[in-house]
Amino acid sequence: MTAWIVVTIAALTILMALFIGLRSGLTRSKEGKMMAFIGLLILPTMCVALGFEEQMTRAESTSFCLSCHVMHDFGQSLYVDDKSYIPAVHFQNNYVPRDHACYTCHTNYAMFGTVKAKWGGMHHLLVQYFGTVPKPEDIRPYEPYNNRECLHCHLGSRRFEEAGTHLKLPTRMADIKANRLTCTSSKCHDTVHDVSTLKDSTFWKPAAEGGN
Amino acid sequence: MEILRSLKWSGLLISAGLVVQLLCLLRIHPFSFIAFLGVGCPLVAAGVAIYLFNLLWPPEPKP
Repeated sequence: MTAWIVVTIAALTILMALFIGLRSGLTRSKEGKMMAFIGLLILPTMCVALGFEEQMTRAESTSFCLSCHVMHDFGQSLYVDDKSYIPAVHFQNNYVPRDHACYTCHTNYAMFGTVKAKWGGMHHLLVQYFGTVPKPEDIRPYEPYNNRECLHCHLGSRRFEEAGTHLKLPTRMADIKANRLTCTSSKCHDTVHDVSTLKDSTFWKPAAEGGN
Repeated sequence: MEILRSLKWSGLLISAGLVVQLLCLLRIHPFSFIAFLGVGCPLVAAGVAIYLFNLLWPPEPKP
Protein backbone atom coordinates (compact mmCIF):
# COMPACT_ATOMS: atom_id res chain seq x y z
CA MET A 1 0.00 0.00 0.00
CA THR A 2 1.33 3.42 -0.87
CA ALA A 3 2.53 5.63 1.93
CA TRP A 4 0.09 8.44 1.25
CA ILE A 5 -2.90 6.20 1.99
CA VAL A 6 -1.33 5.25 5.33
CA VAL A 7 -0.64 8.93 6.04
CA THR A 8 -4.21 9.96 5.20
CA ILE A 9 -5.80 7.28 7.38
CA ALA A 10 -3.38 8.02 10.23
CA ALA A 11 -4.04 11.77 10.02
CA LEU A 12 -7.81 11.22 10.14
CA THR A 13 -7.41 8.83 13.07
CA ILE A 14 -5.28 11.36 14.96
CA LEU A 15 -7.98 14.01 14.53
CA MET A 16 -10.71 11.60 15.60
CA ALA A 17 -8.79 10.29 18.63
CA LEU A 18 -7.92 13.84 19.71
CA PHE A 19 -11.54 14.92 19.30
CA ILE A 20 -12.75 11.99 21.41
CA GLY A 21 -9.99 12.56 23.96
CA LEU A 22 -10.71 16.26 24.38
CA ARG A 23 -14.50 15.92 24.16
CA SER A 24 -14.86 12.65 26.03
CA GLY A 25 -18.26 13.76 27.37
CA LEU A 26 -19.66 13.04 23.92
CA THR A 27 -19.26 9.32 24.56
CA ARG A 28 -22.25 9.36 26.90
CA SER A 29 -24.52 9.17 23.85
CA LYS A 30 -24.92 6.06 21.69
CA GLU A 31 -23.36 7.83 18.66
CA GLY A 32 -20.46 8.97 20.82
CA LYS A 33 -19.84 5.41 22.00
CA MET A 34 -19.79 4.22 18.40
CA MET A 35 -17.40 7.01 17.44
CA ALA A 36 -15.11 6.09 20.34
CA PHE A 37 -15.18 2.44 19.30
CA ILE A 38 -14.11 3.37 15.77
CA GLY A 39 -11.68 6.14 16.72
CA LEU A 40 -10.02 4.44 19.68
CA LEU A 41 -10.01 0.83 18.55
CA ILE A 42 -10.78 0.09 14.89
CA LEU A 43 -8.87 2.90 13.17
CA PRO A 44 -5.76 2.87 15.41
CA THR A 45 -5.46 -0.90 14.98
CA MET A 46 -5.77 -0.46 11.22
CA CYS A 47 -3.16 2.32 11.25
CA VAL A 48 -0.66 0.20 13.16
CA ALA A 49 -1.19 -2.73 10.78
CA LEU A 50 -0.82 -0.54 7.67
CA GLY A 51 2.14 1.32 9.13
CA PHE A 52 3.83 -1.95 10.02
CA GLU A 53 3.33 -3.25 6.50
CA GLU A 54 4.75 -0.03 5.06
CA GLN A 55 7.77 -0.15 7.36
CA MET A 56 8.42 -3.78 6.46
CA THR A 57 8.24 -2.95 2.75
CA ARG A 58 10.67 -0.07 3.23
CA ALA A 59 13.01 -2.37 5.15
CA GLU A 60 13.48 -4.36 1.94
CA SER A 61 14.87 -1.39 0.02
CA THR A 62 18.54 -1.02 -0.84
CA SER A 63 18.64 2.50 0.60
CA PHE A 64 17.38 1.16 3.94
CA CYS A 65 20.14 -1.45 4.15
CA LEU A 66 22.84 0.98 3.08
CA SER A 67 21.75 3.74 5.45
CA CYS A 68 23.76 2.11 8.25
CA HIS A 69 27.34 3.40 8.15
CA VAL A 70 28.85 -0.09 8.32
CA MET A 71 27.06 -1.06 5.10
CA HIS A 72 28.67 1.75 3.09
CA ASP A 73 31.43 -0.47 1.70
CA PHE A 74 28.95 -3.16 0.75
CA GLY A 75 27.00 -0.54 -1.20
CA GLN A 76 30.26 0.55 -2.86
CA SER A 77 30.98 -3.06 -3.84
CA LEU A 78 27.87 -3.01 -6.03
CA TYR A 79 29.62 -0.48 -8.27
CA VAL A 80 32.94 -2.31 -8.70
CA ASP A 81 33.89 -2.40 -12.36
CA ASP A 82 34.86 -6.05 -12.39
CA LYS A 83 32.81 -8.90 -13.85
CA SER A 84 34.09 -11.34 -11.26
CA TYR A 85 32.27 -9.44 -8.49
CA ILE A 86 29.00 -11.37 -8.36
CA PRO A 87 26.89 -8.74 -6.53
CA ALA A 88 28.22 -5.97 -8.80
CA VAL A 89 27.35 -7.89 -11.97
CA HIS A 90 23.85 -8.59 -10.71
CA PHE A 91 23.30 -5.00 -9.61
CA GLN A 92 24.77 -3.25 -12.63
CA ASN A 93 23.00 -5.43 -15.18
CA ASN A 94 19.63 -5.31 -13.41
CA TYR A 95 19.67 -9.06 -12.79
CA VAL A 96 18.21 -8.01 -9.46
CA PRO A 97 16.01 -4.92 -8.97
CA ARG A 98 18.42 -2.18 -7.92
CA ASP A 99 16.07 -0.71 -5.35
CA HIS A 100 15.75 -4.13 -3.65
CA ALA A 101 19.21 -5.49 -4.46
CA CYS A 102 20.23 -6.54 -0.93
CA TYR A 103 16.93 -8.18 -0.05
CA THR A 104 16.65 -10.08 -3.34
CA CYS A 105 19.85 -12.04 -2.68
CA HIS A 106 19.84 -12.09 1.11
CA THR A 107 16.33 -13.30 1.71
CA ASN A 108 15.66 -16.96 2.17
CA TYR A 109 13.65 -18.58 -0.62
CA ALA A 110 12.14 -21.26 1.57
CA MET A 111 9.07 -21.60 3.75
CA PHE A 112 9.03 -18.73 6.26
CA GLY A 113 12.09 -17.36 4.45
CA THR A 114 10.80 -13.81 4.56
CA VAL A 115 10.15 -14.09 8.29
CA LYS A 116 13.66 -15.47 8.80
CA ALA A 117 15.17 -12.65 6.73
CA LYS A 118 13.20 -10.04 8.68
CA TRP A 119 14.29 -11.60 11.94
CA GLY A 120 17.89 -11.38 10.77
CA GLY A 121 17.27 -7.74 9.88
CA MET A 122 15.95 -7.08 13.39
CA HIS A 123 19.14 -8.57 14.77
CA HIS A 124 21.16 -6.20 12.56
CA LEU A 125 19.21 -3.26 13.97
CA LEU A 126 19.81 -4.37 17.55
CA VAL A 127 23.54 -4.66 16.86
CA GLN A 128 23.55 -1.28 15.10
CA TYR A 129 21.97 0.59 18.00
CA PHE A 130 22.72 -1.48 21.10
CA GLY A 131 25.65 -3.73 20.25
CA THR A 132 29.19 -3.61 18.94
CA VAL A 133 29.24 -3.06 15.20
CA PRO A 134 31.94 -5.19 13.55
CA LYS A 135 34.32 -3.90 10.89
CA PRO A 136 32.89 -4.25 7.35
CA GLU A 137 35.53 -6.85 6.40
CA ASP A 138 34.57 -8.98 9.41
CA ILE A 139 30.88 -9.18 8.48
CA ARG A 140 29.78 -12.61 7.34
CA PRO A 141 26.35 -14.16 6.68
CA TYR A 142 24.79 -15.97 9.63
CA GLU A 143 24.80 -19.20 7.61
CA PRO A 144 26.81 -20.28 4.56
CA TYR A 145 25.16 -18.93 1.43
CA ASN A 146 22.74 -21.52 0.13
CA ASN A 147 22.60 -22.27 -3.61
CA ARG A 148 18.81 -22.22 -3.28
CA GLU A 149 18.96 -18.41 -3.30
CA CYS A 150 20.91 -18.40 -6.61
CA LEU A 151 18.76 -21.11 -8.14
CA HIS A 152 15.60 -19.19 -7.35
CA CYS A 153 16.39 -17.19 -10.50
CA HIS A 154 19.00 -19.24 -12.35
CA LEU A 155 17.37 -22.66 -12.23
CA GLY A 156 16.03 -23.53 -15.65
CA SER A 157 17.75 -20.67 -17.44
CA ARG A 158 19.61 -21.77 -20.55
CA ARG A 159 22.79 -19.95 -19.55
CA PHE A 160 22.93 -21.86 -16.29
CA GLU A 161 21.70 -25.26 -17.45
CA GLU A 162 23.95 -25.37 -20.55
CA ALA A 163 27.08 -23.78 -19.09
CA GLY A 164 30.09 -25.95 -19.93
CA THR A 165 31.62 -25.73 -16.46
CA HIS A 166 28.36 -26.80 -14.83
CA LEU A 167 28.31 -29.92 -17.03
CA LYS A 168 32.03 -30.70 -17.01
CA LEU A 169 31.60 -33.58 -14.57
CA PRO A 170 28.54 -35.85 -14.67
CA THR A 171 27.62 -35.20 -11.04
CA ARG A 172 28.41 -31.49 -10.93
CA MET A 173 25.00 -30.16 -11.90
CA ALA A 174 23.29 -32.45 -9.39
CA ASP A 175 25.75 -31.34 -6.71
CA ILE A 176 25.06 -27.69 -7.45
CA LYS A 177 21.30 -28.18 -7.34
CA ALA A 178 21.53 -30.14 -4.09
CA ASN A 179 23.78 -27.49 -2.50
CA ARG A 180 26.59 -30.02 -2.09
CA LEU A 181 28.82 -27.83 -4.24
CA THR A 182 28.31 -24.19 -3.35
CA CYS A 183 28.21 -21.54 -6.03
CA THR A 184 30.02 -18.91 -3.96
CA SER A 185 32.90 -20.86 -2.47
CA SER A 186 33.96 -23.37 -5.08
CA LYS A 187 36.50 -21.17 -6.86
CA CYS A 188 33.77 -20.43 -9.38
CA HIS A 189 31.73 -17.44 -8.23
CA ASP A 190 33.62 -16.74 -5.05
CA THR A 191 34.23 -13.00 -5.38
CA VAL A 192 31.33 -11.66 -3.39
CA HIS A 193 31.32 -8.32 -1.50
CA ASP A 194 35.10 -8.31 -1.16
CA VAL A 195 35.15 -5.09 0.81
CA SER A 196 38.76 -5.42 1.96
CA THR A 197 40.03 -4.85 -1.59
CA LEU A 198 37.75 -1.94 -2.46
CA LYS A 199 40.46 0.69 -2.19
CA ASP A 200 42.28 -0.89 -5.13
CA SER A 201 39.16 -1.24 -7.26
CA THR A 202 37.79 0.88 -10.06
CA PHE A 203 34.12 1.74 -10.01
CA TRP A 204 31.37 1.86 -12.57
CA LYS A 205 29.72 5.24 -12.90
CA PRO A 206 26.14 4.92 -14.12
CA ALA A 207 25.08 7.51 -16.70
CA ALA A 208 22.06 8.46 -14.63
CA GLU A 209 21.63 7.08 -11.11
CA GLY A 210 18.68 4.73 -11.02
CA GLY A 211 18.37 4.68 -14.81
CA ASN A 212 18.63 1.50 -16.90
CA MET B 1 -15.89 10.92 35.91
CA GLU B 2 -13.21 8.26 35.94
CA ILE B 3 -14.21 6.74 32.60
CA LEU B 4 -14.09 10.08 30.79
CA ARG B 5 -10.61 10.74 32.12
CA SER B 6 -9.53 7.34 30.87
CA LEU B 7 -10.99 8.06 27.43
CA LYS B 8 -9.10 11.35 27.39
CA TRP B 9 -5.84 9.54 28.13
CA SER B 10 -6.66 6.89 25.57
CA GLY B 11 -7.28 9.49 22.83
CA LEU B 12 -4.14 11.42 23.69
CA LEU B 13 -1.92 8.33 23.78
CA ILE B 14 -3.28 7.07 20.46
CA SER B 15 -2.79 10.49 18.87
CA ALA B 16 0.77 10.73 20.18
CA GLY B 17 1.57 7.23 18.92
CA LEU B 18 0.17 7.94 15.49
CA VAL B 19 2.09 11.23 15.26
CA VAL B 20 5.27 9.25 15.96
CA GLN B 21 4.27 6.74 13.29
CA LEU B 22 3.71 9.55 10.78
CA LEU B 23 7.10 11.04 11.58
CA CYS B 24 8.64 7.61 11.04
CA LEU B 25 7.35 7.62 7.48
CA LEU B 26 9.34 10.75 6.62
CA ARG B 27 12.66 8.92 6.17
CA ILE B 28 13.66 5.45 5.07
CA HIS B 29 16.11 4.65 7.84
CA PRO B 30 16.54 1.91 10.45
CA PHE B 31 16.02 4.50 13.19
CA SER B 32 12.53 5.19 11.79
CA PHE B 33 11.81 1.47 11.97
CA ILE B 34 13.00 1.28 15.58
CA ALA B 35 11.04 4.40 16.57
CA PHE B 36 7.94 2.99 14.90
CA LEU B 37 8.19 -0.32 16.75
CA GLY B 38 9.65 0.99 19.99
CA VAL B 39 7.71 4.21 20.52
CA GLY B 40 4.78 4.56 18.10
CA CYS B 41 3.31 1.09 18.47
CA PRO B 42 3.53 0.94 22.30
CA LEU B 43 1.84 4.36 22.62
CA VAL B 44 -1.04 3.31 20.36
CA ALA B 45 -1.26 -0.08 22.08
CA ALA B 46 -1.41 1.60 25.49
CA GLY B 47 -4.21 3.92 24.32
CA VAL B 48 -6.22 1.06 22.85
CA ALA B 49 -5.62 -1.06 25.97
CA ILE B 50 -6.91 1.72 28.25
CA TYR B 51 -10.01 2.10 26.08
CA LEU B 52 -10.66 -1.66 25.99
CA PHE B 53 -10.06 -1.99 29.72
CA ASN B 54 -12.67 0.66 30.41
CA LEU B 55 -15.05 -0.87 27.93
CA LEU B 56 -14.81 -4.33 29.44
CA TRP B 57 -14.43 -3.37 33.12
CA PRO B 58 -15.98 0.06 33.56
CA PRO B 59 -15.09 1.69 36.91
CA GLU B 60 -17.76 1.49 39.59
CA PRO B 61 -19.56 4.84 40.02
CA LYS B 62 -18.73 6.45 43.35
CA PRO B 63 -21.74 6.71 45.70
